[in-house]
Amino acid sequence: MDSTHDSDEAGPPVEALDDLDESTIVSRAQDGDLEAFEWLVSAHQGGVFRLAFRMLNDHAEAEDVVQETFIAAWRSLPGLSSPQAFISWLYRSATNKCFDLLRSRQRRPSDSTAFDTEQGAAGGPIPEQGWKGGPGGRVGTAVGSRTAQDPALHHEAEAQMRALADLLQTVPEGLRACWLLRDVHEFSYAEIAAIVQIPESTVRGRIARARRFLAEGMQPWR
Amino acid sequence: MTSDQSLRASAVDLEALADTLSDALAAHPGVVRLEPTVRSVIDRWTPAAIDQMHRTLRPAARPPVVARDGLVLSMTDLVLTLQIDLATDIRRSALELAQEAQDLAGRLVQDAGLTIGSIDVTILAIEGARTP
Amino acid sequence: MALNEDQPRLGCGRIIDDVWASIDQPPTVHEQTCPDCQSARLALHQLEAVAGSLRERDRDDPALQPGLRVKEAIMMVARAEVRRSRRAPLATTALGVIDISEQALSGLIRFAASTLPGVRARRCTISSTPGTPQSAPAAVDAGNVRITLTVAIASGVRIPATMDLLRERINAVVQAQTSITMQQIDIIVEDLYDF
Repeated sequence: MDSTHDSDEAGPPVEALDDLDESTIVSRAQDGDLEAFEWLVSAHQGGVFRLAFRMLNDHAEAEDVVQETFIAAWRSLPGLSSPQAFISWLYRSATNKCFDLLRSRQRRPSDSTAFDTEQGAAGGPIPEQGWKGGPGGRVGTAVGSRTAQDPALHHEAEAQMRALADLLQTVPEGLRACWLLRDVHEFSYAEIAAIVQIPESTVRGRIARARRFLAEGMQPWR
Repeated sequence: MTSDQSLRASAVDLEALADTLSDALAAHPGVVRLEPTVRSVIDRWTPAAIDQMHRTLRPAARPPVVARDGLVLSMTDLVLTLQIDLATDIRRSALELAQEAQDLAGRLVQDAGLTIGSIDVTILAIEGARTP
Repeated sequence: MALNEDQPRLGCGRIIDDVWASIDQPPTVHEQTCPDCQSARLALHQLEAVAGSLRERDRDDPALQPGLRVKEAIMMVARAEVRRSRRAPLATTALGVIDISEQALSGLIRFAASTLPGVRARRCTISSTPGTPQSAPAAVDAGNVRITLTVAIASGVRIPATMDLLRERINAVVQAQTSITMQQIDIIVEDLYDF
């Protein structure tokens, strides 16, 4: 090796992206900095994937959504108005791709609901038999408690989560997206309104309807 | 030697020269790597296709092109045109390194007995040492 | 139109959202006596617990991550597309042209900025003509490079002195690496961060 080049010599310091604020990283990705962009992909691909997976219930399709969303992000980043808008942009893009895929599945009309249509159980009046189980019912839930030591509780917790995941697939997609963004991805109502581009009051209504539908559906598990 | 044979021979020479250039440039101190580009990735698939084309269609329909990561060699009338795409180490001057790469490639092309049309170098990245 | 018109309500007239908002608190006087609220609280509490478990399990579930090839495919497209950017010719030798991509140049400028403590380089716009950043689509005139760099600065850093130092540093690094002498370096401080 040439004497002018010593690989053991410490090079100039390179700032670690993990130490930077996300606005700085987004700004750099906007200028075509691949390292910054790759950091953003690593940081957010899991979240986008989980949203898409719970929207579509299909691993391969969810991966497609991740890939398309980030490639579109790379192309749109230079024109993004502010780095703070990136996350909203990302989830809006992913959510829209999920809706497109769901529509293209061409299901029976009763199964397919457009974003603005809230028909079916979640949109109707509260059923008379709703909220049964009452104060006398079993209050404890298996999930959230110390289930690791108790195989039976652990099994029940798994079954409850599976039941919720299955039930979720029957929630109209517009409600499902809002519910996932709030109760799984923990965005604020204002952030969700920016992502799905509907008024915040409508977002609140949709999430409440989704919660009621899911809570009613989970009743057998109490 | 028919023109078909000479074209096929030059394509083979280009493959060997591309390997020599690729190894020598990648080993040059201060060169972090030869940067793959769309062109070098896509052109890497073409020699076989071009060879096939020469066998079945008119010879010299296209100049022979050989590519490696960060390298595209093309030959027209026994004159070689070379494009080098580099990522360089920030501890060295990028411009000086690019000139060194150009000179090194020039010597190797001449050693191979080919005439140099042009050797263009593009600096695609300047990288600092990664902190552990 | 009332704000809460599209909000689902319980039999007692309360908005479900309100019940949800307070399920972690002790029941109110109304909730203690209203059967609608009692069963709603119970059902929503159950949902919250299961949703919370699902949220945490999904987040840590290695099966609920995209495969490695997804990021590889994304980065391959990104890498391929970034290479189409503008170039600035640096030298013409007997053998041919040496040039640098705009991305490599802006990366170099960000690197120069990163050598100063308390400075985080954000966007860097390179132009050849004053006031018209994206005017030259094909090439950057290396003899007339002007940049606009936005930065975030650590709070407490003396801005004027740091800006002078930053200009000096960028000039020195770019000059040493590429022989380009910058015609103009505009710096915009757009954010402060805690050091």
